[in-house]
Amino acid sequence: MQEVNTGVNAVEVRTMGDVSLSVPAKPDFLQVVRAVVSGVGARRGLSYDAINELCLAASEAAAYLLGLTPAEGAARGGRLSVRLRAKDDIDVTVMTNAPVPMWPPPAQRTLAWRILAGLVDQVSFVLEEGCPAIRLVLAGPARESVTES
Amino acid sequence: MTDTEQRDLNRERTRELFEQLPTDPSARDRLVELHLPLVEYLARRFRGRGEPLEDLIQVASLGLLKAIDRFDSDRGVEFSTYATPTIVGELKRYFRDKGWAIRVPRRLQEVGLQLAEVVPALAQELGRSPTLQEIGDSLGFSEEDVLEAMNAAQVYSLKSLDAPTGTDDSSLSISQLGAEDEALELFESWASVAPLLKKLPPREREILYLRFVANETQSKIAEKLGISQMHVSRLLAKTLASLRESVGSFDA
Repeated sequence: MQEVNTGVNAVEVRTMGDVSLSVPAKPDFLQVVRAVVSGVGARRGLSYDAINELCLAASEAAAYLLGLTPAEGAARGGRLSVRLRAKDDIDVTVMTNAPVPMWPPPAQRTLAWRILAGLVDQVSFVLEEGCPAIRLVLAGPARESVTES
Repeated sequence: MTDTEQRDLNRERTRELFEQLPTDPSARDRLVELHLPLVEYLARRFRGRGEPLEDLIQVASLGLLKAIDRFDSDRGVEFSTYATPTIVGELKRYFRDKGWAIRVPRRLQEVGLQLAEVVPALAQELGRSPTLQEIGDSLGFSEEDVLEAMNAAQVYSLKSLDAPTGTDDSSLSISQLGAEDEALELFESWASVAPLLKKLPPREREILYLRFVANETQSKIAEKLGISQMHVSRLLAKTLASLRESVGSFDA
């Protein structure tokens, strides 16, 4: 737990609709990502199911990026960053500063894309500030339908 | 000597030892010895859940000591009748506490347990998945408490998913439930993941199908399968993790 205290050294909350998080690129920290995503989802009034699914999507995206990052990358200070922007839509971007060969992958042919596409409204595998990133969007109207379905 | 005669003898001996207990502390040790078979019998009922039998016997022995210290022979019940629920309670408490991968405060564990009951009930009543505010109002907790309990539930050991679903030994584990469904063929037609999906237990495949092909909500899936939404959520996370592990880089 010591590592959690020292490892999560950058949680920046500009407003409750604009939150950034940076954690070591290790699976142990996925729970921190989930906690932050669920907190933002709860404050946006998402339903219990919608919060669970957004968390599942964010941690899947993070786990996918971690899977592509060599373990020694995390030991050498590799970071996983998550940025959440919540206005009408909720936009979650998960990125890694570790070098990933062949990025972006042929997204729609990956299992990760198929799963993520089932959890949120838009999925894109992109380069964000030169880093491999997965962008997830839960659309406002769709979010309402999740809440009301 | 028949079993009945042996049992009667043990009961008589137990009564005598409890009479001696106030003046002879060594009677406590003899009571423990006399009831070790009961301890071992009850501990064995909890085998196969990931804890060594020796540890279970120690936990059950602690339950026996508590039962001996709390037993009131004037109440007219047999000691074994009194001790059994105390020992079983100690074993269950042990599993409840050990079940959490990270130590979660008891209060949050309890909110989490209540979530499993209240969320489906509210979903049924409202016709949609409830908000955390609605869940909090229903339970008498704040939205923050509900959120914390939700997050705490995620650190619960995934091993518990495959533990018996009921309190008695006859209950089935999740992987034993469910049957092949023709509709699953559609899910399996995902050529890139089909070989992996075929290796999944039927129930896990069914949940993946319902969620990602039939596009059902987790609450609806829980209702259909007769398990809690939290179980569905954990099972989905576990299945996706195992698929990810199997695929390696995740690219099939």
